[in-house]
Amino acid sequence: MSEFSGKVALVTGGAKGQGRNHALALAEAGARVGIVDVCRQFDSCAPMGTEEDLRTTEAMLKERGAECFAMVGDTRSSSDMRRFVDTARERWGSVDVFVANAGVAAFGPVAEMTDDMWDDVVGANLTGVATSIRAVVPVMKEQRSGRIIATSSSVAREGGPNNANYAASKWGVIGFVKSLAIELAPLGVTVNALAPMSVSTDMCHNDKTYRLFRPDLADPTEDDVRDTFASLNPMRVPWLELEDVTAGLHYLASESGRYVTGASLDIAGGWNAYHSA
Amino acid sequence: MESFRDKVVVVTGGARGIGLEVARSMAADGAVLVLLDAPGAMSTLGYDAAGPDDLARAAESVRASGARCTTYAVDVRDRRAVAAAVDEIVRDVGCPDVVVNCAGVCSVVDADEMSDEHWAEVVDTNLHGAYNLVRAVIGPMTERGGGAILQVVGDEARRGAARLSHVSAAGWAAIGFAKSVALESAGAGVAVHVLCVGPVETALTESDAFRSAAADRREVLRGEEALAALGARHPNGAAWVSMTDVVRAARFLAASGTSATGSVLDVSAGLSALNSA
Repeated sequence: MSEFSGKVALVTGGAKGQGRNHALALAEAGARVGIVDVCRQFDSCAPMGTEEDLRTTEAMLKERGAECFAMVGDTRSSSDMRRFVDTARERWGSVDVFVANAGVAAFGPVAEMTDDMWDDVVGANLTGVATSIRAVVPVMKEQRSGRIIATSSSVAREGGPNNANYAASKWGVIGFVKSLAIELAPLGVTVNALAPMSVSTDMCHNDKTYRLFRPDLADPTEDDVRDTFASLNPMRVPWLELEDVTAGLHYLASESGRYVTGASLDIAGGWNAYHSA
Repeated sequence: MESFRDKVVVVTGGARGIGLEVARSMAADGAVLVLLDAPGAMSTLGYDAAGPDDLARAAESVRASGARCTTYAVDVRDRRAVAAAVDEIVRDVGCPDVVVNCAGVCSVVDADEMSDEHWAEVVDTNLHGAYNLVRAVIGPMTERGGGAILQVVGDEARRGAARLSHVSAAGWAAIGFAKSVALESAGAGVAVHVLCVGPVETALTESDAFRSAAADRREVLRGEEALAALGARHPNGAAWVSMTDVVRAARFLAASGTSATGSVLDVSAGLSALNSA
């Protein structure tokens, strides 16, 4: 029997990137999986998932033999998130693992930040994470079991120049996670954050991000930015592969992680060794 | 001792509480004060935010020391109103030397009972308000090439806090934001600090619900019991952090320049001893 056999896992931001990989890994471990994604590009932000991406993830879940569903929804909307959670509950009766992964990025100094850059990033990464989690908390309270994992970032451990919107949102995720961990601890429900450094996804590999890392070049390529990314951490790894983050998620969602709550798990090539906590 | 003679000091949340006392202290040193307060209606706080009368009385008490003081009835949630007020301040009073962002609100609610409005009133004021203010002042301050921004947060910004997950999230995010702006602005001579305070006896802390939550108690204790729990929670045994000590810390940070930029100074009845850093 597989580790998550019979369990129900929900993943936000499941159309592509980390969310897709988490969903597929949970399905491979036997879980029934629901995914949601806003499937709409915010103008200010790095490339986001499309409805086609969402359907691709759904097809990949089916290929793995998983019971699954995929829906379009906005994590900032309580009604969308209730619909997401209710769908899983009506279909399968419980929600055992909730992955609040949906996130966006838009770069620039505060002095030049547009309203959208601030509102979209903080809205999705902090309000969206909290709103989606708030939708599942009553279910897990009633079950007296469950695992909630929110995606934060290495940038939630320090200031992020040209990244204040993102840093603020990811710091906020940790405060929310720790607070909720205390609230739900008596019920055995765990709440944790994942704090990865850059991951090899579209959020990392795009022209805007490359130009942020190499402002000296007009049209930087992946090879041009590799060393700059790598210089951020002592292991000198430019970016994580998806499976590096999913391994952390798997641990927090698994039986092994039953007494781990209120944590923020750094997966960052030692970048965190430069941070106080 | 630091001097604020002829410094232009802008204080949000200046009508009462910590904001007012910081303003009065700097005014007594000859600073020119601008107070912003009197936000629009909020329905989830469980206490009344400061109104126009409070703001007028605050200005009178600041002027009692002979200082110049102007006021703006501005809600920090209103980005355009904040920007317009700052434009006027720069034109009429001068570029701010010290900006104290003390506008903060609080409600006490478990995450599963939290409404979108609970979340929004706290996060819009405590986090988006900080952004709206900094976004408006950072241009003039960096152009002038000096000054200090002081962000005031509660101790929930340093750890998880049950029933205060939205306040905690906004507080953590405000620290991440402040550190990011500190990195962006240090080169221009603008310092950004965070003052993190334990419970101070103000309107925000007057409810038994807040006092109990701040004492890490899940049930609402009444009257003396709630105060006793606060005292038991704090390593120094005191229920309250003294306003005098908070004002002293604010003055120190506001005058400490970029040598201390990005720092968080905890005045939290010994809770700081529980912090990782």
